[in-house]
Amino acid sequence: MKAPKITVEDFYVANASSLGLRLLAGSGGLKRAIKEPTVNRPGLALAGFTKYFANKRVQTVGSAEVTYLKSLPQEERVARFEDICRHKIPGVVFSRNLKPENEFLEVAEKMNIPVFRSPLITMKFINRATLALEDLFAPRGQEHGSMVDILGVGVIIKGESGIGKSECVLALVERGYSLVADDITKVKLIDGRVIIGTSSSVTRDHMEVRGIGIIDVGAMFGVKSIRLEKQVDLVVSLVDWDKVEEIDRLGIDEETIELLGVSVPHITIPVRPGRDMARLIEVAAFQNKLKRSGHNSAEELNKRLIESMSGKGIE
Amino acid sequence: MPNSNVNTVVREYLIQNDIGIHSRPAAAFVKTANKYKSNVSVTYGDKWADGKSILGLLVLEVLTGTSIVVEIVGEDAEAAAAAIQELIEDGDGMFNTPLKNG
Repeated sequence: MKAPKITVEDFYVANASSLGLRLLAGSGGLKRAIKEPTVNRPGLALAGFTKYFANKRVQTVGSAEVTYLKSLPQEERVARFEDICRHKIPGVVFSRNLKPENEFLEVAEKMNIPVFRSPLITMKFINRATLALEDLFAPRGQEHGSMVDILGVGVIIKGESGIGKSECVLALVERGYSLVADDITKVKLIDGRVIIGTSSSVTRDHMEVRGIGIIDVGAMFGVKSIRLEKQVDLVVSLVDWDKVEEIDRLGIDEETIELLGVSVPHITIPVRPGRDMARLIEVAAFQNKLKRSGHNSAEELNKRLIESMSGKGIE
Repeated sequence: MPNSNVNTVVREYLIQNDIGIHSRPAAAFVKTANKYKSNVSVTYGDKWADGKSILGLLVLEVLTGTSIVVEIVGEDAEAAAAAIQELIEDGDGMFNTPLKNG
């Protein structure tokens, strides 16, 4: 999966307030790309050892680096700073509100390297910035389907238009579960393994019900009925009864579907008038929860059966 | 009721797999039976079950080395019987693989 191109500006705009970032110099370099979703402390590089310098990352200068630079004669330290800037770094952040020397800012301005200041202590900044970068770099996509949080189980409900997705979602919301997204679910891959689903910001908390129109779920059912984002644990496909050919009658073998290159448990529920689809999806979610906690009902039953039968057969 | 095109097929099968009809063979049997309109019933000793119900088949606890009688009644009984026969005789060895001692 190809990661999106992230610029220093993207990072700055998304995290200016959460990381307390203030741009001090080098605004001409805001379009520089951050090529690796993490931060680096350029201690060794500032000490003159630039082999293996992780120059594709956001550079974070903390007390250690600043104190070390102070131990050098002024010309020397400006030269060192200039040297790391020459390695095409995306940008530099001074943590702990450390004030970079004016000479550094002049160098950065001239070389178009954005320099920021953050009030966070270095460790906190690194932690938060790494998470923020991971989020920016997360592969994204969208699924045609609605998403509901059923007591901690994130379920994407897919199916052809008109099969009754919205009615299902509505019934689930009425049972006290929360709407994450209606019709289109935006997904992103975090940490290469967890899929997070959310709604587009425009349609958030709203859904369309045929015959009624657009409804505001939050206003109608209260704040407990909406949820901003949720990990996707299960995908349910609603399929017309007549179009279902192979259906798993036991549920011993887990079927999966690929979302952003990750396998997510998947089940197919045949739809027929009169079936309470919301109830079935609810049970599917609980079944998923049971399986995740190590209890596979079909397997347990089979085990019991085999125990009861084994040894009795006629050879 | 036009009874002219209702057929009845009765066949007996010896089950020779590892332990008998447990969940997987039962699921396969039910899946096959459900593809046809005909009624499928399975008799095992003095017990009887609907061949389209998994739990029904499991309750029979059909042991390996014993026989079941499959009775199929309906318009497509012949086709259903052929499919069930193929499943039992072939079906990835689910019904007829001798016990692998391991």
